[in-house]
Amino acid sequence: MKTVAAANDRTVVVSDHGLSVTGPDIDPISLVLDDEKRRTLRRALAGGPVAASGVPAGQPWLVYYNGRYWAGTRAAGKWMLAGVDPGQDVAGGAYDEDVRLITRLVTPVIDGPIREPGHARAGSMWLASSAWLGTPEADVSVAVRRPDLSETPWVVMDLASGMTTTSYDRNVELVSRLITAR
Amino acid sequence: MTTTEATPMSIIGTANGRSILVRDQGLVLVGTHGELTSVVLDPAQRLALRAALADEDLPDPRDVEPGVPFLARSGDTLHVAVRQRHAIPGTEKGTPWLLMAMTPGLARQGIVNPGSVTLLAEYQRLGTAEASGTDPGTVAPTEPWLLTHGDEGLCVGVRNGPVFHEEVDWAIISLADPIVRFPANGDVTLVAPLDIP
Repeated sequence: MKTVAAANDRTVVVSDHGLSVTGPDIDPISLVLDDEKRRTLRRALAGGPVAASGVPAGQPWLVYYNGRYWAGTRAAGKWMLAGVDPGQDVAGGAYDEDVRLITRLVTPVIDGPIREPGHARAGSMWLASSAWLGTPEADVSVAVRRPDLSETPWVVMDLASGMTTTSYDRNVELVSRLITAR
Repeated sequence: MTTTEATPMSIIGTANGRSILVRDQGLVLVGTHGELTSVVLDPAQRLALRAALADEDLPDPRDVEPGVPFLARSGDTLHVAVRQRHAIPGTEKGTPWLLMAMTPGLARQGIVNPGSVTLLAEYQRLGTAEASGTDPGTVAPTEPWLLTHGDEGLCVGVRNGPVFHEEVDWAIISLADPIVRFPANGDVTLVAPLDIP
């Protein structure tokens, strides 16, 4: 049980089960929150989007789509997705209503040395340079190391345009690791 | 929770027959008989509530690596907290923590023992795009930033409000060798905003 806030004669308490509010002039109100509801409430308190349609272009997210988890970016009203589980590849043009937000992808404050692209772990997600895509404004991408060992082991998604392609190791320049905001 | 279309700052959902709404001013809960209850939350309380709703297991303050910024509570106040690398004579066993209070307009700092710190969440670094072109003199006084200052490498900083000292714009802690400094706006370069999950 954590007493979080006491304001205008109300006390907010968070427990393993959910949220309750008590006060001298009210009957206690409790809400049972599962993990997804807790995440949604956290996002709302942070002022962030609670639905896939509210995500601005240029933000990398971990999302749930078609029964699996994907790294995704939204551009032109659609989602470009790169799978992070074995057997997945690329899903292009997913609709907002079919995509569920899990968490924004962020970079750690303290990180180790940047790995060579060829040594990155399968399923790992990175901020990467994508200038090689050929568009002058495309300089930041999400790169996901594919779980298979094909000649083009990277899925690279430009954050601004959503343009997505597979890539050789030599064409990917890793900038920083991406991790899930827990 | 049944999520409906909502503005970025609000959500309406239901759980066990109760409805919940998040607004700029705080929480609004609707009971089973339609009665309304509201809780006005200031930015620090919203931050504390977000941290409490997280499902992660936080480490003991004695086991944390130095140089990683955390949201922490010490006393009744929220702080940006960074563990130091070296013990200070006279403090209890374990290296102490440096704190910067999140009280609006007052980035006061202090050194406390690990036993006096409750970790709430580890700060994460948002995209560098948010820092592009941002004037250090314009960011909100209670929002921590990753920044650089001189040759000290990465630092975490909180901009002071006007009541602190008119000639001191920022309170910063170097992550490489935690030490507090108070530079002016023109002496810091913003790298990325920090936020908790």
